Amino acid sequence: MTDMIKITNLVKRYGDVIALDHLDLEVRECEIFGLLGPNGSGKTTAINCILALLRYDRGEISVLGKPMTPTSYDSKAKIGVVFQNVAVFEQMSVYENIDYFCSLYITDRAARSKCVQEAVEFTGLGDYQKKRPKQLSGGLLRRLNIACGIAHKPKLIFMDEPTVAVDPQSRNHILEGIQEMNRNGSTVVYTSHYMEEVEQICTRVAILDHGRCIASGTSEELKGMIRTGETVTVESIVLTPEQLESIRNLEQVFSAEYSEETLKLKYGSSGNLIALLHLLESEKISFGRVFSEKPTLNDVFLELTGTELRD
Amino acid sequence: MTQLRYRFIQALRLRTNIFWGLFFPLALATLFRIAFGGILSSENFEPVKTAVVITEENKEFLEMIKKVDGETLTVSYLDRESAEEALRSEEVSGIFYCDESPSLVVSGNGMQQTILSTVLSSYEEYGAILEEMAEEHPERIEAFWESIGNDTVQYTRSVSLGGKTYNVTLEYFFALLAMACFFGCYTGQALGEQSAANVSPLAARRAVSPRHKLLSVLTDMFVGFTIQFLNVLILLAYLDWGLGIDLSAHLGGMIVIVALGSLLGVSFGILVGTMNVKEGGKVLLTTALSLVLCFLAGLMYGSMKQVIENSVPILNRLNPAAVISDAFYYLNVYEDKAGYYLRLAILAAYSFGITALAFIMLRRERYDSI
Repeated sequence: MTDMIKITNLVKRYGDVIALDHLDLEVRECEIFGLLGPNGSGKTTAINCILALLRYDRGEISVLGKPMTPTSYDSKAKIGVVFQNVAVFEQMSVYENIDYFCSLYITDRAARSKCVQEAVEFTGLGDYQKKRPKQLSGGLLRRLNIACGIAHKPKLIFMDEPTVAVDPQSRNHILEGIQEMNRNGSTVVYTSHYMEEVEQICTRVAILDHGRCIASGTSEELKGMIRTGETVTVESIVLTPEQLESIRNLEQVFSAEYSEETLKLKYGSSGNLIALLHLLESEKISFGRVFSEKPTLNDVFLELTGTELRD
Repeated sequence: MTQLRYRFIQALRLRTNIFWGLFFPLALATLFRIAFGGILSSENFEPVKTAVVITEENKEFLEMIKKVDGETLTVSYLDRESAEEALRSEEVSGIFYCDESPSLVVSGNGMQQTILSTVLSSYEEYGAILEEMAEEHPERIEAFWESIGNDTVQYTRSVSLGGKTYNVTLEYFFALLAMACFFGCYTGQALGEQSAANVSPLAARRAVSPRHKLLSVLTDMFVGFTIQFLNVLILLAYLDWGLGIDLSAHLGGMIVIVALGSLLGVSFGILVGTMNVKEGGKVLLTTALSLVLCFLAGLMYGSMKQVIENSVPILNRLNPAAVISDAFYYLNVYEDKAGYYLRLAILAAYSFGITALAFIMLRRERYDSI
């Protein structure tokens, strides 16, 4: 697969603050590429640099096989952008907004009309075409924001946190839409600080922290990079130091935290629940709820950076 | 064409901007017309009946009164008692007491009383010069009055070189036209904000499109200018046909002034719009600057420009609102082509300078921060 985007050694400083610290990324054709990281990790800055909106201090960016500059109009014609903040004209109706932004890319009226209509249907805004943005709910407004960015059927779509402040119903609608666009041949760069969304839709993920790419790959590959294979939590359990020690000595356990009658065990692999339950039974230890979790991208982030993703 | 159409639709639906750019000046013009009433009609102008009581000889003051007698005032020289009786019976509108420091007593408020007050103010402004002149070069006093005649005593009721009569209230309407041109800054500000990617996401969305930046910039400037130009033309037509203020004699010249003025207003707005400061700060800046410049050009006090001309004349050349208002005055009242062209040149320099600056700001393609 060819690279839709290739970023090499990108550095962007805001005064003394380094927003992007020697960032390297590749986005391949027809994938949904997730940029995951907490607020301020450099996701939006990276997108603005890729789109040639921001000056950067160092590095190279190529998009669709060509260096990206403000005058790369050929490349820009194949790109769609859904910004984090809703960017529509308050004075124009839903249809007029989509038509206006589509007209920046498609001049032929008949072809554009078809595209606009499809975008309206795609985002489920059919009943709201004549409404002004002020008359729309937050979720519908986000959908309009998306429709304006994708109506011209771009090959490469940037979506910068499109589900922020969106109700669950609209969020699902948006995520399904992104997957459908991808199935139709679009490459999507998706930024979010919601790991569940990224895990749900992204083919590959890059985790950003303090402007650096600390890991990239598929969700499974990322999870394979960390030591945790399974986390088991036991609630309402009372343990003596000796009992806790015997649990720590169980096979694959590399971390055991016990506080406020809750035991949290981290294993190097999965499928360890039965051995734990056998031990608790043989030691005649009473306990409440027990549950096992596979590692999440939050665990990946936690282990790689030492902080929670949502911090 | 689609772009142009939508930019027009979008700009015309910005109700606040249309209010400030069109309806507010129209409303203010109507208010001015009501406030100034019949004095706008030069045919109806009657000299103000005035009594002069000479308590002490003051050659300069009496010379000035002599100059305006018959033109602006109808003067009766009376003793104190007769003058006060005439004021009580409303035979005269005011009494000038002539002594070393002349004073004025009027019977109430109104335009006639304002004219009398203006005459006295004129004397006070030039009093020191006249005193000095009387001592050192008394022979020059006559020439002095001749030289400042149009600007001081007669500016309450100016007679143009072309023989057409106008009055001081026209200054208000010229300043109003200048203000209307300037209020294009609100439309310009909106357009500027929608074009600077570091200011609004809307502009960022437009910036990442394949539409050539130059084309976008020119489209926006054209839209802003056209809307504001039409707004001021409507105001001009309303003043002439609606309110009966005869401005049709030099229509071509007037249109050139409002075209440059509108360009200046819109470009200034674009420039402010591209600044990366809070929305409220921009509105405050455009409103404050517009009003201050228009105040100095005589919008709130018709003689303001005259006061500035006498104290800091350079301010009248630097203040674009005063330049616009002056250009109208030179064209319609003085019918002085050289003065008109000079002001037109200053205005053009301002308009094209600020437009060029706004253009450079809009043409920016990459930003340090967004």
